[in-house]
Amino acid sequence: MLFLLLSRWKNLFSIVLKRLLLILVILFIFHTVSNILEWLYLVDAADTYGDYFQILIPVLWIFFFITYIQKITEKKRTESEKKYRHLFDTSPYFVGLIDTKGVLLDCNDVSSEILSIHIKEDIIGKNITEIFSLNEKNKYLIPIFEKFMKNMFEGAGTNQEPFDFQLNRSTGGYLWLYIEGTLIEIEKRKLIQFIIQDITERKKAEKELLKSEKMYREAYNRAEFYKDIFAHDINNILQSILSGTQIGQLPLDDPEKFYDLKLNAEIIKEQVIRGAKLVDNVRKLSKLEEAGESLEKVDILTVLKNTVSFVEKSYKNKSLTIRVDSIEEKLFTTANEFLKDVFENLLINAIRHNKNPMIEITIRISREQDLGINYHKMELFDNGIGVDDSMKNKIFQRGYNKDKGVYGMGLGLALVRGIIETYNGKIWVEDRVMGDRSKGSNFVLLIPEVD
Amino acid sequence: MSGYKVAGIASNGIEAISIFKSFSNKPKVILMDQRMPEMSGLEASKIILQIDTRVKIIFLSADNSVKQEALSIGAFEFIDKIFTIKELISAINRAIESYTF
Repeated sequence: MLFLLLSRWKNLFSIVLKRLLLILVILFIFHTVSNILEWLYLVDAADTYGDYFQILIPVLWIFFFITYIQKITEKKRTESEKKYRHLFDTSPYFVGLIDTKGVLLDCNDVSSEILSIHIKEDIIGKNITEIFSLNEKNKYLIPIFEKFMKNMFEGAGTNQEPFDFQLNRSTGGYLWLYIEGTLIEIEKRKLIQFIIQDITERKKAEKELLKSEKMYREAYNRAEFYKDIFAHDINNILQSILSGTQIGQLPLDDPEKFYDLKLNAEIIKEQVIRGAKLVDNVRKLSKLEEAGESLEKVDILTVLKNTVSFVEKSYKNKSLTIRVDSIEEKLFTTANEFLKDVFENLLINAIRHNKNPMIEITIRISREQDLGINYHKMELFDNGIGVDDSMKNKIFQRGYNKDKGVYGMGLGLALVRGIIETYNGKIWVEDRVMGDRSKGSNFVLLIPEVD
Repeated sequence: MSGYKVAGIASNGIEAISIFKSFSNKPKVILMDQRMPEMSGLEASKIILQIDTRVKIIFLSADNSVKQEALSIGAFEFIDKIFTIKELISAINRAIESYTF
């Protein structure tokens, strides 16, 4: 405290001393000039000194007064500067000043944390182009900030719309930052005062929230979808079974009327199988949607041939020919137990949607490359009823399109697409004869090759 | 079995319209499903009723969310699945009785 007091008085004393020295110099000049004038017989010497003192004393007082006022004003200015400097330096945000040439004139210490630099003096005096070039990955920000500055300095208003940007760190990772700029004028010089805030945590929280919303929406859609299946599809199956049993009972009431009870029993049996298949497909779709059914190396041809054999046995009552054309003995991919469901669904669809007395299905296997990836290409040609162009995408969609009132061809193809996509493969349908759907369909599968 | 003759069967809305148009002596009653490939029962019914306003369309559907809409476009009745044959025959009888030649 004493030290501060002495220090203050020391400053004041030094200023006063300087002023006194100035006065003495002025006195000396005055004295010299008066001597010269006296020598030139222009003034009287004795009277001159008395007059001098009468003038000097008030002048001295004025000097002291001006000095005191100056000191007070300077003190206030210094205190005010200190206060705002303190705010600037201790702000939790990165605050700085840029001139019209993009040179960083000043900034606070937060800059070193955000830009991963040693001290702020490393960047003060540098152009923003240089600053962003410190990290190769941040060079993309240069044109963005140049535009930002241009809009600020040349724009109609004093403020530019704030924006978010990603800053890559030299230590790895990145920060999300939010910048606001204000155009100011200091000593007739236009400058941009900017404030940059670290919003990385906020962005992470937003991303988690979006992910959470997406999961909720997907779960809700799934629940609606399964609810719809049970409300609609199961009811249809049960209706067929009920009608079948009621029709079957009629000959028992009136034996003179002949009904083919065996045919009726077949219809009921088919509906029960259909119901069981629906439940099975729903179970598999549900399993596909859960995280990761593990994939392993599988020989496609073996699975295909086993499925063809199973389908042929299941449809012994139909005139059915299924041919597999492949020049290779083994075709490997990474898949799982659901691969047989893919082939089974496609083969059964081809059989069901066929009004010909003789059902012909040919599976041609070749190779194809798409975007640098090697695939096994499987084309399933049938001589069935074909698929209208308007339905070629819809048949792979799940269930019912409420807006269009159109019902897809059941869950089977939605399941097939879902399975193929888990293998990173693709599936679509074409006409067997291009432009003439009445000649049948060609279901095309691309399944990634594996050595 | 109830004395009625099935004039035609369609597997989707477009086929239903085509078959209906092909008859010179139009059927009196149509049993219409709602959810079908290519064209829904509602869309097909709107067009069929424009061709012949007398026809009685009985909706048989497991999707009863369209019940009000079906009735508002002029369907005669909407029967929720699951129904018995007796209920179906009764509905057909009502439709025939109300048919105006």
